[in-house]
Amino acid sequence: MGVDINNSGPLIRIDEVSKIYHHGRPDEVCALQNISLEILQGEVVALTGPSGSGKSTLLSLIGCMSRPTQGTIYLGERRVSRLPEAFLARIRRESYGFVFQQYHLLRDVSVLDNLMFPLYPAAMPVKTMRERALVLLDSFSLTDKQKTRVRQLSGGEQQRVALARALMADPPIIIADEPTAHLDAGLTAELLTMLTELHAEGRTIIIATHDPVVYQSSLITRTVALRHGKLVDDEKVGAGQ
Amino acid sequence: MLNFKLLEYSLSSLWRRKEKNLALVVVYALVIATLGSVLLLTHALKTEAVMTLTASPEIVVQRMLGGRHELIPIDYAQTIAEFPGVGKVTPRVWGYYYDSLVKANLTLVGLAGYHEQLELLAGRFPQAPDEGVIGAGVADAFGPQIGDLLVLEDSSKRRTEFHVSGIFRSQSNLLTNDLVVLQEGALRDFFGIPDGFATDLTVQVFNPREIDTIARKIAYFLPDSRPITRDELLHTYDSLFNWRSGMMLAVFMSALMAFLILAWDRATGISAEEKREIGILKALGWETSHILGAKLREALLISLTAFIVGLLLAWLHVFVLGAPVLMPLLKGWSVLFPTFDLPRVIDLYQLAILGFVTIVPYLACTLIPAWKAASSDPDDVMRG
Repeated sequence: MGVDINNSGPLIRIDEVSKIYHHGRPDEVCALQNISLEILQGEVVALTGPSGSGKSTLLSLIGCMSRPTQGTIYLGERRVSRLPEAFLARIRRESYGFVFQQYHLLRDVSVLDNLMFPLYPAAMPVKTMRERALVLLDSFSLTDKQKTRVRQLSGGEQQRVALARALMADPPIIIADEPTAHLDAGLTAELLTMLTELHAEGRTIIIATHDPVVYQSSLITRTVALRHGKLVDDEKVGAGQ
Repeated sequence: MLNFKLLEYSLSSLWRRKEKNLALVVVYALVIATLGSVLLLTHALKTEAVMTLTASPEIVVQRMLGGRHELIPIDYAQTIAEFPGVGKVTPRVWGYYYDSLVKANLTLVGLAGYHEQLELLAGRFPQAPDEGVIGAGVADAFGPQIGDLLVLEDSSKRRTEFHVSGIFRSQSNLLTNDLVVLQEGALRDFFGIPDGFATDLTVQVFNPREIDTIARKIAYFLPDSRPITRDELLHTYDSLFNWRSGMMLAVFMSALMAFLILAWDRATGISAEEKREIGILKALGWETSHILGAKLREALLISLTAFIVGLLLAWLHVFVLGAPVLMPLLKGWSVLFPTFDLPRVIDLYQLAILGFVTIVPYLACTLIPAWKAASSDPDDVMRG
């Protein structure tokens, strides 16, 4: 079910995609209009644009968290835009690692369980899951916090837990929505370093951000600018040129 | 593997909200204990009644005159005894006695026909007109022991004294608790029952399948008689306890309804934290069925725990403590309540019904809102 990263074509292909919320109702909102985009394996794409431009909506469609109103989305060779919810859930679980703007950790659960719970439906044995979680916590310098409840962690620690959780299933694609929105300059630099390491491992990273520190960083290989739900600019930058 | 992991998640989720869930289990268990007590007690009393009536005669014949119970001529016994299939026909002399001092009804019976079924705890059956045997409830209410005097007022309001010669023990205290057994002659004098008449007749029938036929024959050949079969008595007890327990259940059902409304309110008002958690899990790859599976396990853990605890409480209340809260309501109007040990029997069908009316609605109250939350788009989580 996971994406085949060895295919020769684009990793993600978005074809004439539109997203309309409350479609057919008086309060309908057109969040995206006729977006077409191809993302290659190994790219680090920054989706930029002001608030309300459609960044998060596009990220949500790429991440199989919602379906487009029109158009088609391919993940590898698989057309995912019309798959049933159960299949989409499996794709989210196996192909994507998500880092949310507000981390979205389970606050009253230990750090270790936060890493393990999302993978419970996977076929991975608990013992293997635990071992993988401990390796990740070690790599993010969180071993001594494994039994601590998330609500007792600092913002930076929570950010690292969120990133560690995103890597639990060893996904080929990392999706991050405004990951630096709540971080100071030091923690932002730390996050960029971690993302750089993930990119070096061959992962594709897609970040929705309006933080110049992120989209102007050397990590980014491509910027896609959105305005009012339309794609207005698509530029390869830095190492992507 | 998945089942085990979902169960582990459910236990973790319950533990995280342990105060709230513990309070829920306590209230839930109390509701089940109340309803369960009514059902257990009713079934035990019915079983007790059946056990008691097993020793009773197959047919009791009364005489009806002017629409009311009258004394029956003893020579009716001869007529009935000649029907094929009839064994022994025994005239019984008995009556009710109300004592205004202890505000209790006693049943006074003549010796003939009773002592065959009953055992004495102590003493002996009356051998003189001024002797009597009393039930345990009478001994408790009036206080006399063997050799003491029991003073009753007869039909002419004269004080009559009886020496207590024995106290009853029966397999079922239900039979003898309010009983005073006197010699037949003494009882006739006490109630003013003339010779040649009895209160009723008991009829022994050898073949149980002939009971109804013989009862119909008695009614046909003795038109002023009213034969009452043992099955009719059992049916009366059954209806009586069903009616009383039904009244109580109707009252306690309101408690169940109140609880379910609370449960619904709690479940539909699924906390923002729980909704958020469901959304996060969905976004990270849980399917709706996984969420519902976990929530079903949570709901089952709560409802089954409450059901088992509630049933244990009901069992303790009914069979260990003797149902002090419900017994006066179910046993009836008497002051001399029998103090027998209830037979420890459980009707599995009733348990299944209790489980159905308490567990299923709770599961629905929990799963429907969880399903609504789990069906929402994980995109909502992405947007915070």
